[in-house]
Amino acid sequence: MFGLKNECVLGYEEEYRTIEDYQGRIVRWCPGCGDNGILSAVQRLCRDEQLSPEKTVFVSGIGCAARLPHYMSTYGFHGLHGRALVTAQGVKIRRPDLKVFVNMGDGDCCSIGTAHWIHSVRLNMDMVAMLHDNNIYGLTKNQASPTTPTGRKTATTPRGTPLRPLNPLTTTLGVTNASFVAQVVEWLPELLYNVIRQAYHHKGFAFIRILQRCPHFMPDLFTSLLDDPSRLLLLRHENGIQVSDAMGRILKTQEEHDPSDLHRARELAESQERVPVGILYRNESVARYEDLRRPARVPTWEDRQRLLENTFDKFGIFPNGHEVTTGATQKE
Amino acid sequence: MQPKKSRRERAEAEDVAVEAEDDGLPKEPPLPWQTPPQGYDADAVRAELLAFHLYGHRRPAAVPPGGVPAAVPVALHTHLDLAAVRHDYPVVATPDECLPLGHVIDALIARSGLEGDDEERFRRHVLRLEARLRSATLDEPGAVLGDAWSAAAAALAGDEALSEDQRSVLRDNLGRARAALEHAHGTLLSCGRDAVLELFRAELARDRHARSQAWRDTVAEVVRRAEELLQVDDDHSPAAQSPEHLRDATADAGGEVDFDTMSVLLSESRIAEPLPASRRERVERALDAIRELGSLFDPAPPVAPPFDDEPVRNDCAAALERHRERMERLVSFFRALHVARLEVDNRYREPVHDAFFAGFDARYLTREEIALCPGVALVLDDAFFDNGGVTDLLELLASGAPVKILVLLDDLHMDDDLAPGVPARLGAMAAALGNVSVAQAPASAFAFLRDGLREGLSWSGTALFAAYTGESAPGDLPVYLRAASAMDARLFPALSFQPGRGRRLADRIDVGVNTQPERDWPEESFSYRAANGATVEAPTVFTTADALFCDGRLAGNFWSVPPEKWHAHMVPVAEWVGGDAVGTDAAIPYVTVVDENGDVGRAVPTRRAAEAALRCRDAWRHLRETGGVANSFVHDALDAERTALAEEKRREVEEIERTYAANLERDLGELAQEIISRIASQLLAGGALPAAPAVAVPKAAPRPATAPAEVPAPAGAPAAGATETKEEEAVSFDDPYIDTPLCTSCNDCFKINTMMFAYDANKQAYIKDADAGPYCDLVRAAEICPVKIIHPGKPKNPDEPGLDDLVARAAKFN
Amino acid sequence: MQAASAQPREASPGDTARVEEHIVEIISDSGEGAQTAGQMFGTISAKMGNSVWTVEIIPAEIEPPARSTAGASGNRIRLGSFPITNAGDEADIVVAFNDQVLIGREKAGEFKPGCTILLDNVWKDHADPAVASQYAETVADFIDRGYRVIEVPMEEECRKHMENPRRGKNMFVVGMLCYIYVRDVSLVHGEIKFKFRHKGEKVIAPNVKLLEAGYAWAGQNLGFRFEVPLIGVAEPEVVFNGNTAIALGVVAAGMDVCAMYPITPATSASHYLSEIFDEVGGVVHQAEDEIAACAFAIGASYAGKCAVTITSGPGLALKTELQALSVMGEVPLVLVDVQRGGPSTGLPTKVEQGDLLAACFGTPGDAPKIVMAPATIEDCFYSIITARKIAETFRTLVLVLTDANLATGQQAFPRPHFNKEWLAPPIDQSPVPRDKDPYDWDPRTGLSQRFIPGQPGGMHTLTGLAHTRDSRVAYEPGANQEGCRHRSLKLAAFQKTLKPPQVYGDAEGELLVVGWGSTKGAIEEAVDRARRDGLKVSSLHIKFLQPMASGIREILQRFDRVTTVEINYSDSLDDDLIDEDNRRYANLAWLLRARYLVDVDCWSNVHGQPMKPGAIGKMIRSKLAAD
Repeated sequence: MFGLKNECVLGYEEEYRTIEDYQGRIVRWCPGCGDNGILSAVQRLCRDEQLSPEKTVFVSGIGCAARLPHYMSTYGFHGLHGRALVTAQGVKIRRPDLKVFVNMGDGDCCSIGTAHWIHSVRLNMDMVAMLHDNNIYGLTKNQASPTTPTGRKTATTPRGTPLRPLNPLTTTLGVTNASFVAQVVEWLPELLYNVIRQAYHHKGFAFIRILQRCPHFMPDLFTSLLDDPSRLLLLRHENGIQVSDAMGRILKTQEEHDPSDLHRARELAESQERVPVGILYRNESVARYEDLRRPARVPTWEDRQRLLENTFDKFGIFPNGHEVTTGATQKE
Repeated sequence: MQPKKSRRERAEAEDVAVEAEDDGLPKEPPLPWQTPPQGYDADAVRAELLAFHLYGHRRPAAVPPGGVPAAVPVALHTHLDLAAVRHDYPVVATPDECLPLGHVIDALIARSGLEGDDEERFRRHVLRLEARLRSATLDEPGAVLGDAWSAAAAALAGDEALSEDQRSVLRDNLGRARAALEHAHGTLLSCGRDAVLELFRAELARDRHARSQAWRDTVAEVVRRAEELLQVDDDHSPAAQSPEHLRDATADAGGEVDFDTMSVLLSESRIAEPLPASRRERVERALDAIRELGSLFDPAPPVAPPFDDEPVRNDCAAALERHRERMERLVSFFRALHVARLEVDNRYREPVHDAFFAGFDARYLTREEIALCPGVALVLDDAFFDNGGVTDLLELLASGAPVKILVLLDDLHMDDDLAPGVPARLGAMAAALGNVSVAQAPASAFAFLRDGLREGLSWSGTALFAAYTGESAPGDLPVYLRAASAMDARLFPALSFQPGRGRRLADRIDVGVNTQPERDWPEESFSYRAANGATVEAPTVFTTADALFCDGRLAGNFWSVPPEKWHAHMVPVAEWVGGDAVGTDAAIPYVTVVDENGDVGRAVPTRRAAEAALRCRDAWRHLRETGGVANSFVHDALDAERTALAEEKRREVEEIERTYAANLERDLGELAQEIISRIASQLLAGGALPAAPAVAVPKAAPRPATAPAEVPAPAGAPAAGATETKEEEAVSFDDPYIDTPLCTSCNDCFKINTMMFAYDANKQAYIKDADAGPYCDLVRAAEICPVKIIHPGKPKNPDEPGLDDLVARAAKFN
Repeated sequence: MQAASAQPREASPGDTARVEEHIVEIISDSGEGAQTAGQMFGTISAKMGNSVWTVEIIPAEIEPPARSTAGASGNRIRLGSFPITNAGDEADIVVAFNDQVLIGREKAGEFKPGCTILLDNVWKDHADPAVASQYAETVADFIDRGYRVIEVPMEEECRKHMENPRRGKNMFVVGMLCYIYVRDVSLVHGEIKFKFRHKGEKVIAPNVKLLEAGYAWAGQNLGFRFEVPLIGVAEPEVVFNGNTAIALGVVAAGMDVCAMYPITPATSASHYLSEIFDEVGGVVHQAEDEIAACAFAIGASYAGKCAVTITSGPGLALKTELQALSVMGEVPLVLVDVQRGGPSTGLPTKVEQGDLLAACFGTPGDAPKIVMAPATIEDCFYSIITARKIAETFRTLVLVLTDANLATGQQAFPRPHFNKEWLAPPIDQSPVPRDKDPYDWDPRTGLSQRFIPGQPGGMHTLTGLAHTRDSRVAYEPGANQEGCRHRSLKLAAFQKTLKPPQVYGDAEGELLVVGWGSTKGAIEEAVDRARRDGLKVSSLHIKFLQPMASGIREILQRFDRVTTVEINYSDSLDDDLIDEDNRRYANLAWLLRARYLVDVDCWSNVHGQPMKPGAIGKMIRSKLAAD
């Protein structure tokens, strides 16, 4: 039979979406802000996956990064500082049909929202979590964040930050149920796009730390990495990231790293001399909370009535003191 | 020969055999022509035999009063006691399954959970019971398994021979088994028409269930979401904002809320509009249409399935009509399902889909969708063919419509020459069509029939199942053996042809289930007691003639010849068929039979009966070759291959010998050289000659450094740029360019000149028009670009003010 | 029948006293099963046709040291021949497993003077002389102060039937009470069978034995019985505590998601819900903290049906910022606050009504939300259904304030008739009309349609920042004013749908007692008593506290004096620093004074106990005596 005919007719009126179709409000980030690169990478992902805007939700907290949802034409939830991940969990718990993305700054994720970050890894709900890590509080004007390098002078640490920065990679890799951990820099678009795409296709909680330039408060922060890409260590693997020759020429220092190797992933995350970019760890076999809590079948309103009536029976008192239906339950 | 018995099964058979028979070997009478009795006239005997064989004449005197004692072909004789042997019968028939009792029993044993001796005892007890049930069913079929079981169990336990302990163990085991027994409500059927019909019914139901299962979740999901769509709409409707509804929904126990006011407020602020009427109506209609077939998808088999399993009987046209109706229902069902699906996904666009669904018909159904509809069941029996329905049938077969035809023959419709008629040969004919799924076998081959049914029912096109029940032929042979013998006599061979199964004929056709398919006739050895009392083991073959001998209606075609009338020219039918005596008086064929008294006898067939064997053999040879067994092409190919291979080998050997010889010569030559040179060198070493001057080897000149070692690429990018320029000189530094793949879409260059810079499809910048602005724009853009990927190149316009300064600034970006 | 044999003699009218109501307390160290005994006795009495209110007596610790005066764990059962709506005043009969727990309760003023105390005498000859003497002293002291102390050989009797009597005493006690109150023992058999249905005969049998032993012992040794005439059960009823009612309310409201974090006394609602919610596809999500729980619920609401989060005071504080988000984003949310004693960690297991002002005004900035307070256990059930419906219709946050008294109190009420309309409809996934904005505020009511992810054309980014109708971050000055105005109008719109509350008693008079929440029963009982004595007092109970219905001012004005009765702190003018200028009023009093400019007085305390009708009665008398 000519079955195909059927399918194509049912499909053909779906219009193709270009990157512009995913563009939301006018971008208001500073000139040269690294968030632009991240925005166009996710827009490109939406375009390539042809995600339907009504079925896609970008959830964010507060901060520069958290403005991203406004610049998308999808649904967005620009909620509270530090609470993006938990809100996203709520969004996902009964809506497996929605594609959920979370955009957080380093203050959002690693400071005020730390508890949620840890537990989100453990819940392993299916979403892409992007940590825009510029090592500083930008929107509140230049205060030290947990990832600010030691000795950095900021508005709150005029004599330099006393502490060593928190390492988001080792932290995440240390949490039970970690199932996808990657790091990438926002100024290598091809690589950034590849990593985000892999994260999107991961079934579970995909955590990406994106090193992001803040030209306003941390102009010099990543220049050394920009000028000398060899300080980046590209993790490539058939199950991880593969890059074009052009990208390969830029990132000369590379390592063949199997994303299933947790031990090596942790070593790489720890390493001081090189900045690993690519997928550090991936494990598709970790159960997802939303699946663990999903009912076997979709219950009907009759089920609710049954449940209530049974409960009322259990706690029931009936005229002239006789159990009407409870008798049965009691004999069980 | 059927029923096949594995050694283990034999063991069981012995184990469970109720009364062991004493030496029941057939006895052969003394052969007359070795020791001719008084007045044995060989010629007269021969004449008499030939008269019968060739012309069917027989002197009445030859027939003793009361006729000859009933006899069976020797090959069948050893298998007469069916109860003693495990085989596919009896079968247990329930509404949704029909399977051999043996399978039920084996499952029981497998689940017993016992070990060691306990298990073995359990196994034996249950098998003993199975044997009981088998014989009971032979006596009277149609009992309910559960009841028959209890009866048999009681009988077994009642056996005096058992000690009390044995009895209690037996009771326990049978009790446990009964508790675990499945299909207890099923009916026990022995081989025959009913068994096949029940099987057909069960498989039809099973097939329908399987088909709907594949769609169940999808349909449920679509229906649920469509219903939700309507519920939401109801919730948006004015009715939902009526005071009454609000009161119900708010459960305001204390009566604190004024719902009239609430109703007014809500309706005034038009929070949500209802769906467009057209959409709502469309969804409702779709749901109704889907529910038309709704019961198909109930987890439990529906009471009155929308596509009922009740077969059409003896009417091809009616079957086709029913198929057409089903397709109509299927079309309206899937039209609705597609509409509903589009609606719940908010993808229904009236301009596009209204037209599409208006023209939606059977052509639009996909394979999977059509697969939801089970084929129409059609049963054709002997009556149908007696009324000359064959032509209708052939048309139906050719149509390819998914009608599932069960040809259920009690009779082989012999023609006057005692060869099976068209109805009995439909299998081969249908298979020849190439796109009809065929399964043909006598009822005795139950498992084979069932597998064939399953394949045929799941096949997308027409399927033909031909089963010979063996019920009509009179005679006291058990039905099972009549059916089975028809197969082994190559009268009604088993055949399966599955068009869907593979690219090669060998994948599609299968005759392997026939007994000893590689032979013309199945062969088995049997033992008898010779006149001298010695036990003789002799081979016996089973031919068409043997089978015909069992058919009471053909009694006239056989003469059970008393020993005193045997003759030296008598040869077994198989031999006769194989030889060239056919149609001559050179030899007289006979069938070896054993009569009630266990005496081996000889039955001479008429020429008709004997030649039927010939025709059946030829038909069988053709079939089996098609089926890839003993295929002549294959044999030829093999021979050709062998000779070719041998030739090749021979040549290789020659080649090797030749080269060996050659090498040998050469080596000898070199050896001579070697010896001479050694002698020479010894002489030189002796200093007899001046040493030659050493030649200076020139050192390799220092090669000019090729590419300069990797310069750390500023801003990462130029690495790519640099290599480019090296590779193709064409691109000069004069033209401005951007390393587009490295652009981070920061919009900065745009802020300088929107005409000059543009984004590509990936939202990454490139130089759209270098002349859209002054050189200074290019330079400023290069300076502001955070990832330093803009290369201004050389200025185009020499008159641009402050050019030197600009060029200087541009330098570090080029 | 087993029981019959254990029943020595039918109580002769001589020693059976008829009473309208009685209060029984059963107290023990934790883990001795006094609570089980109490609930069982309460259930039986209810099933026989008394009106019953039972409330748990819970120590702060899980297993406080044995024999500690503050460690009393148990149950108070009030049974009567008229509808019982509260825990009542002091106990008439006390059953104590040791002497020390008595002291604590007595100090708390829970015992009626001269009431009967059935005390386990196992301590009398305790190996530890200190214990023995403590016991002797207490008994002596109680007798001196006029209590009727009956020493019962509970442990001794029980040991006849099981080796570890500590486990079985409570059944013995139930047996005694069944004799004393002439209860049908066969009903108790049923209860025991039901309670231990999963443990089987080996547990059921001994318990039945102990029950009958208690009954028999009482029959032979106690010279008194009480008859609380049965009023019977007219229609099918259900009996459970307020937290269970909330859990069932969540099911009945058709909600799918309940996010919570363990906190006393709210948690038990989630316990029960967790047990049953899966059956109907619901999920109880225990989050990593109170904030996460609320954010999770908001996320679930935003993408689906209205969700609920259940907490108590400290949790409410932590959820403050998220409440504001729910209001700002107009994401429907039901927030249940089972109030406990505050401030700070306060009295986790004790009752208080101290969160009203926090609930109404606790969120920085202007965050108008609906606040309601169920007054009975039945109310707890229906209020959740109401709250869900209102939250979704008005696109807002609804706070439901219950308290520890409702949470642990048990009362029978008419069995609810399930109504399909209670359930939340499926979520809307159809395209939104072209001309609509995510905040398409109706100019008059501020109402608008909620766009749910999945609805084509409804794409927008919900934000906690000030935003315009189309959910764009607002930078122009007028925008925030507009937003606040419309969110506030929604409250006004809802207020218009509220009827003036009914006055209990005469529509006018000398004194109006105003209350809210769990005190309703006690207040109305006190008012009844006072009115029987001819006092011109009425009461008013307010369920919707924000917004408040129209017509309340008029009601207040029809009375010479108005006072609120609340379980929260207020200054007393008896303290010499306190005067009209600095007096801090009870929560509701503040609200009434502020809104209606009526000089509303208040009478409140934070003893962590339910209000007693008697105490309220006293207050009423003193107020009316004052002039």
